[in-house]
Amino acid sequence: MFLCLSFLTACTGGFTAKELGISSESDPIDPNPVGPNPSAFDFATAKNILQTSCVACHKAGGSAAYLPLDLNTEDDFLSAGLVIKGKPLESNLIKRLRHHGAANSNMPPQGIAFTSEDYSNLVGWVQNITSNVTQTIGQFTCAADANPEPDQMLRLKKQEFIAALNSILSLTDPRYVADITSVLSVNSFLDLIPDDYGGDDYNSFDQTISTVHVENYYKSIEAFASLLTQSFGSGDSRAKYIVTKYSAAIGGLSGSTLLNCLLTTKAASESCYKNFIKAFGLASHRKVLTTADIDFYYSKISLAETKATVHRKLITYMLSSPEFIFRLETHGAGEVLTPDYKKLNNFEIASRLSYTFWGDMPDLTLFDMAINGDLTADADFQLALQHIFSVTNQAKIKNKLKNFYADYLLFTKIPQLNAFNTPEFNNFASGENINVSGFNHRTDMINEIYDMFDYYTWQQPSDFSEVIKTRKVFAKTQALAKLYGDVGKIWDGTNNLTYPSSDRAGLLTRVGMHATGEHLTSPIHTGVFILRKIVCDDVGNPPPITEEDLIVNYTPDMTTRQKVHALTVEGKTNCATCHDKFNPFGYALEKYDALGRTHNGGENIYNTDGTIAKKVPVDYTTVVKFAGQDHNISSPEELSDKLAASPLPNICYTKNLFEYFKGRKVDFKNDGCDLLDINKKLSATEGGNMQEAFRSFSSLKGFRFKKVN
Amino acid sequence: MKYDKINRRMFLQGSGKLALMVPFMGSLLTRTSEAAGVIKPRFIFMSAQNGGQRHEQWFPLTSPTTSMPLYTSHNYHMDPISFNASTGISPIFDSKFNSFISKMNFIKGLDQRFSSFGNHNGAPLLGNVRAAHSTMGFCPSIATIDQLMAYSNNFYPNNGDGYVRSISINPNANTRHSGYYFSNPTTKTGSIVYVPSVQTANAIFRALFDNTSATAVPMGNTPLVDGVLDDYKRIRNSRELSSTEKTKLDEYIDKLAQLEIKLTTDVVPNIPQCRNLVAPPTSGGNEIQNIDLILDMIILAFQCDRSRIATIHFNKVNGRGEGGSMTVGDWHWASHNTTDPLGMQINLDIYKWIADNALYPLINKMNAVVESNGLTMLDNSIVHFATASAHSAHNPKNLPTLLFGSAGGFLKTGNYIDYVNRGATSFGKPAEYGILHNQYLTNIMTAMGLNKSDWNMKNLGFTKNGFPTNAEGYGWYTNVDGSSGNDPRYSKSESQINNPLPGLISASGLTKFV
Repeated sequence: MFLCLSFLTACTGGFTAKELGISSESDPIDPNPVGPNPSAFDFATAKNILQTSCVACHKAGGSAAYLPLDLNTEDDFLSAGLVIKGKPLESNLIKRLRHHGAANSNMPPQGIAFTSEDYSNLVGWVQNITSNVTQTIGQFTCAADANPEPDQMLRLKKQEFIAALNSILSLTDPRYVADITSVLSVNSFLDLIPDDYGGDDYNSFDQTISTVHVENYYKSIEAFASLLTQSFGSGDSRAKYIVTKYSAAIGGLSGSTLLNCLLTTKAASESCYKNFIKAFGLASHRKVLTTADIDFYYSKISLAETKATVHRKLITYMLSSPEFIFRLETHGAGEVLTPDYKKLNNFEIASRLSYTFWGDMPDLTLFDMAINGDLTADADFQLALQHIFSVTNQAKIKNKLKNFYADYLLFTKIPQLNAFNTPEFNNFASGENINVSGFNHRTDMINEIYDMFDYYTWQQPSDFSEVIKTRKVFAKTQALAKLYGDVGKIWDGTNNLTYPSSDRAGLLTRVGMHATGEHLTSPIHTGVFILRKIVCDDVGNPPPITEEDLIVNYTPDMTTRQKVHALTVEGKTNCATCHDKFNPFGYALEKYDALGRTHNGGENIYNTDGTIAKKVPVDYTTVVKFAGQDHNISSPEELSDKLAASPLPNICYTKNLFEYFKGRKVDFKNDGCDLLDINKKLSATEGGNMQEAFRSFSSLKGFRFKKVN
Repeated sequence: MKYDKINRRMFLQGSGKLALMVPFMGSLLTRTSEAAGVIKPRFIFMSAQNGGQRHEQWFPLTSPTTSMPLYTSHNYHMDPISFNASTGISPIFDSKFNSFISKMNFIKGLDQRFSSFGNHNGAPLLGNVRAAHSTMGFCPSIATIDQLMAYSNNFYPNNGDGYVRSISINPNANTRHSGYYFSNPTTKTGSIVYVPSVQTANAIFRALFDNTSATAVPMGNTPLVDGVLDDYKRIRNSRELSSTEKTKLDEYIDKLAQLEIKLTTDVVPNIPQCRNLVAPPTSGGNEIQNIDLILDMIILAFQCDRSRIATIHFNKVNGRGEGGSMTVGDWHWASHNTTDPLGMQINLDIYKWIADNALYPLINKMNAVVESNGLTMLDNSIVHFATASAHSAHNPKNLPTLLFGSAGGFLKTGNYIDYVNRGATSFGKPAEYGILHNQYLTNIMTAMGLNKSDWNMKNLGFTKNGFPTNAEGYGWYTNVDGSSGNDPRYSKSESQINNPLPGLISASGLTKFV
């Protein structure tokens, strides 16, 4: 049993010793001849197993003839796509076989000879298959034949859509500036636009276009157009000021000529409306419109209509255009870097910069650079980048990064404290003023972590491993400092207070990472979080649960750790395979309670009336597995320090950063070159830090080009 | 703020001060396009997170004993629903449900074949088992039955033009969506994407009736969607776009065209009670009040025939969240500890809360509306109440299912039907199994007027492992070539996938199967 588990947990998910370049001495593959035999991890062995157990059905004329197995050569078999080289847990072949032998196993059918050793040998074979590699760092490789996915036309995310409307609105006269979400909040359709939803992935992946999206984008724009053209008397409107600024940016009409055009009290004319279209087009289409574009929108209005109506219609049409709703990249100069990479034009580069780093449309300065400069050239591109990262624009960048951290670290899942208002919790949290007016511990907890990332990104640029191990104090409120046990340790934004080296090492030990909303901790979910988000390993599939699995013999004096272990590991063959991977990470953090406080002499066991029945000692020593090795852990600080000493956190951060900002899953082989570049910019050993890693998106090979098929 | 029932009703008053009383006579509400007396079947699906509901808490305490043959060596059992006058049917469905027994069906023994997961949203129970979890990738996403109905000309009249095809509701979150459909719905092409959920009665109302923002200057009766459509077509055809990008614009165009119909067609029946309504408040009060308002919106949508489908999924009830944790005592923990007394009690409390505060008010409101065929709205509908997984967490077998209504007499009602093959063995071991949940889903779709051309996997072009499926039924229940593969437990159910479920379908219902 131990051999089987150690093999699965150490070898089959995430980054292995081999991927990390760890020497064979520490290779997790157990050489014990009783277990899987690494010498059998080859195609010959795999072929023999597959022929014995699978080909009877998976052949022409067999019951699974739809999926014949071609075992002629290893390449022939691999071409079917059933395995991903070096990634057993991502390979369909292994996924289907994973529950072999269980009553509800997918494959092979019961009655077919297939042993655990067969399975292990197949896993080992898939694990050992490697790609052609030209350069390697950690698990990222820049393959000579890397071929990333084509760039897709992206729908504006809900927040990007709202940000763009606000950016346009911000250009009006200061008297009329307002945040659109407040101006249109009552019965507006903005709130009916679905929030972006990535399911199991980042919300930034969401490109869904439902009827609900389309209807409420349209209605929001219609309402926005009415807002911009609302009359303030004497023909004055918000649109007047906005269009004036865009007109100036593109060198259009000015002075009284422009004013006569914009004032609704003045006579209308074709040239006037066409100038309106041209000017507003910079906002709506993020480019200078062509004559054909201008003529198209002009064809949609009539000189017989009132000027206010025409303006409102034009704004509605133009903001509803796919040029606004989507990030169209179609008007490049046609030049190519390679046949697969088409050169973007100035406006498209400006939009890429602003949406990548701000989550918003270009501002007037970027538009000016696009109109009068050459963003395809390095010199002007660097100027644009300086503007993007200038102090005046840092709030936009920080906001974009905040959204990433919220999604990456699952801040939205930090529960409301005292969610259930139980007697146990009320006693447990007594004296902390949870949910008391004037206190907001949950917000404080989240802000502490934002501040930590902000500090190591901007004030003291560092890599992610520093976040994992730092002792520096970031608690800004007395209430939060009290949870840490020292109300004197408060961060004022500049001081350099630290926790003792034996306490509070890094992100995982901060109170927000432990809040469950109840009086008990959740080592399972803490463990899963670390496995997925810090070491990027695969959790695995929950198996079907049997009645036997549900039988748990809890005793009254069990700690949370002991209960979790009894529920998921002890005698639970089905469950333990995966839980043995992640539970130990959670066990190591059981030093803290469900408000992140250090347990005071043990874990309190509560009666249902909230009184304390007893206090029991907490054990947070454990053995965790990462980077293909077992690590003895005696404290949370040791866990943090050992993680920080490994390349895994930086590698995992790189992967997550890439996925969030690219809006899609990583493809390790084909995105390897980009991942390698970002990881170099992140790693302190390479002189990098989190700020440089973020900036490095602008210098990736494809940033100023559109990758096509 | 104290909740004021009378004020809550005020929003239903029109400008002509004609109060929309709930209920009011459905006979007034026949669309001009449909003859009086035509049954308008409605489908409502209600589910909740996590699952793991013990059968003894859900099903009637007395199991059916009358045995009837289902297949060779597989009998099913059916009896009228038993109940106790004072304690009701079961711990979840207490005595207030007694008066509805003649309109209910409990169904036991519905199994999902491939899902090894419980369901963290409603979609798997509506057929899309992929939505349960990312690791269900071997069963790719497919359209759910509510959306197959929503876009079927066999369900909505007039091609569904102008209808709000479905109302997808999650009172607590704008994630965990129940419905999934093609990104290009009218052509049934493209990827499978979620149908967004709404959270409030106000949002439902505005989707049903309101075309302008209250704070904006109205555009009058001249929606500009036609011009926007022209722009999309112009750009689609004039720019250098990949086929994928063109497809994306096509999807947008398709939905703009639907929006144009909605905005330019007077789709609200010419009935005073359905016009000039004032939106309910954006905040619906406390949890129970918000749910009650939402239920009122569903009834209003059905009465005014603005929609005929609603799905409601709960991932938070009575202060208990879906459970990001496995903390002892939370909902998620309880679903994994269904033999633990505390786990059982929590599960019972949660489902009883839903039954008391959402299900019962819903069926009560529906039963109070008499429609033009003389039956109540409840009689003309199917209300499907289900739990996310069966008996224990991550268990897709023997899914507890409860139905109300008969779809206008399509279903027989009042029975507890158990399809479990009692005492069966599989691969030489004792094995409790029933019939495929997929067969139940095809029966429900048939009750709603659909036929196999609407759901046939082969026709819909779904692929599995890159291979087009050859299955004649709905959902992932066979191998892609339509063969039963290697699981003899379900081979007979597979062969009956589009056939009526014995015991459930009435004589008149049987005539609808083709």
